[in-house]
Amino acid sequence: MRRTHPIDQTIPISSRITMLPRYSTWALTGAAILLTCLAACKPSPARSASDSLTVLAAVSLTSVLSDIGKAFNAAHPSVNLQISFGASNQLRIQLEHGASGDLFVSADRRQMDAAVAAGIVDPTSVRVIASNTVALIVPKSNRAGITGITDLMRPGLRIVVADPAVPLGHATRLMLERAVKIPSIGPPFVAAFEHATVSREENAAAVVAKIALNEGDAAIAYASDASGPHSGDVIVLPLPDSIVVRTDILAARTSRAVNHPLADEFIAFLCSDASSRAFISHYFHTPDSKAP
Amino acid sequence: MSTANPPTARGSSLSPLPALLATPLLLLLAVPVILLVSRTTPGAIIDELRHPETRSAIRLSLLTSTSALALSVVLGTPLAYWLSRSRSRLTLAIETLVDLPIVLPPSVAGVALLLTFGRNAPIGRWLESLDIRIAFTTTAVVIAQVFVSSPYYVRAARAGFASVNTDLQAAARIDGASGWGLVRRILIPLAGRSLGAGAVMCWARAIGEFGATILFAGNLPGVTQTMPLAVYLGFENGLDRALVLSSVLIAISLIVLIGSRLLGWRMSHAVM
Repeated sequence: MRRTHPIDQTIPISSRITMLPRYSTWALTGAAILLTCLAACKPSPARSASDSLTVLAAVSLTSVLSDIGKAFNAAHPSVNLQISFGASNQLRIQLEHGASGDLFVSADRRQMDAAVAAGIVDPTSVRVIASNTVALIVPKSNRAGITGITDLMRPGLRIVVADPAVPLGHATRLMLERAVKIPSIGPPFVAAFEHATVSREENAAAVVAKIALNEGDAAIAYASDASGPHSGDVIVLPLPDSIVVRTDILAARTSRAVNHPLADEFIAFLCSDASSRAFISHYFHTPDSKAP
Repeated sequence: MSTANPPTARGSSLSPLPALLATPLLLLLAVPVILLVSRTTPGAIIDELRHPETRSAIRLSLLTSTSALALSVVLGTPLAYWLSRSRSRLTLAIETLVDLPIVLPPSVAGVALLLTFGRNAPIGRWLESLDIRIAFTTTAVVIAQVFVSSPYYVRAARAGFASVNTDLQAAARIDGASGWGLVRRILIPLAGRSLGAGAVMCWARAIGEFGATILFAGNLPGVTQTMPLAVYLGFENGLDRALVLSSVLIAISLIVLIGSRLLGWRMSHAVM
């Protein structure tokens, strides 16, 4: 019969730990804390300088940049191009707080100016690559029968807009400011519009999605939404020249970009004729075109 | 619950090992909150509170979360009691259904609610014909909050009721208690701690709700923009509003947690 040592019989585990020699306890603790710190401070995987390019782009550019990206990949098969879409202001804030990305493509000048002021993009690399205009969009079924902006003054409508914090929302505000000054439209239109607004969405895609789901009767979004994931479920109506707002799409290399020549090459590609054709086919305007 | 170890007597040696190993997690929980609060000055709070949008976000959050809590308690208590007393395959299925919103991503909940109460859904269309609009209203905010937070209350209440000895109930019946009297004098006092802790968790989940709200109810100051939405979108407008609202939320949460602790409703009572 195995003789058990007296210590095994009487002392519970927790006390046995305190009875370990001091150096063991501290060594264990030190090792645990060191492991935790090492896990936290793991260096980010080194990106192969020649291979990858990360683009942070405004959500309104989803379909056109996917096409342009494919064309770029066809010309540069070895490049691993990754495009991440989001609201321009959110992308800028992420870049300010250390997100990694080689290029920033903004849906308006305001966000790019803020990025330059924050020092997260190289000011000499900023280029205007296209422009967009705001437009009126309605669901495909258009049960409210909206054909123009004066129809927006009807009672009982649900209008969806973008939050003023994002480029589309800011452009919508500018449009309303213009509308107030036009005698034939004027303050009653703006008052009716604000009264009928039911939601301020957090980016352009969310605005279009609500209309595509027929949860809103009308929305102010981009002309480029005539192409894109929801284009089959919405109708895009142009706004009168007197109030339409045009926003510039700008691209720049970030200050933390790893591969400068490749980033610059992509920006040059975005300014090329092939890309201009892609932008036009997605209902954008080229920078130099005399659009409304 | 009653098999917990007695607290360590003062003066006895407790190994430093668990405490030291716990330090990284404690730091992760404490440091971000401390840094957030430290960046807000009382002056900034007063300044922000002058803005009607800030005040309406706070008012709306408190109003909707309290309504959601009231609805969860009123509708959830009978459900919790029934679940605690019956044991069939049906109850097991229902318990799983009640648990579902807890694991469901909030944005998925928002899409589901939109497809149920939205204009194009059968229920939504019927309500529209009665001139009742749900989406984009404060009601939608409350519905979204009830959807995501009531399971916390129901689970805790179920555990609380289950812990009330049925013999006690039977004895009370024999002595003449019935119906409401039984509930008021036996069930609620004995299950009280779990009910209270469940209510606190339900309310906390409701006031923090974001994903389902922004998808289903939309975002409009004064109508549907609760504090979490205002923080998310106010992040752009100079960060001040986001910081102030975050600090207000932390302060309210601390008051509720400390208050419930003083009442003896530890969060451990809400766990089953």
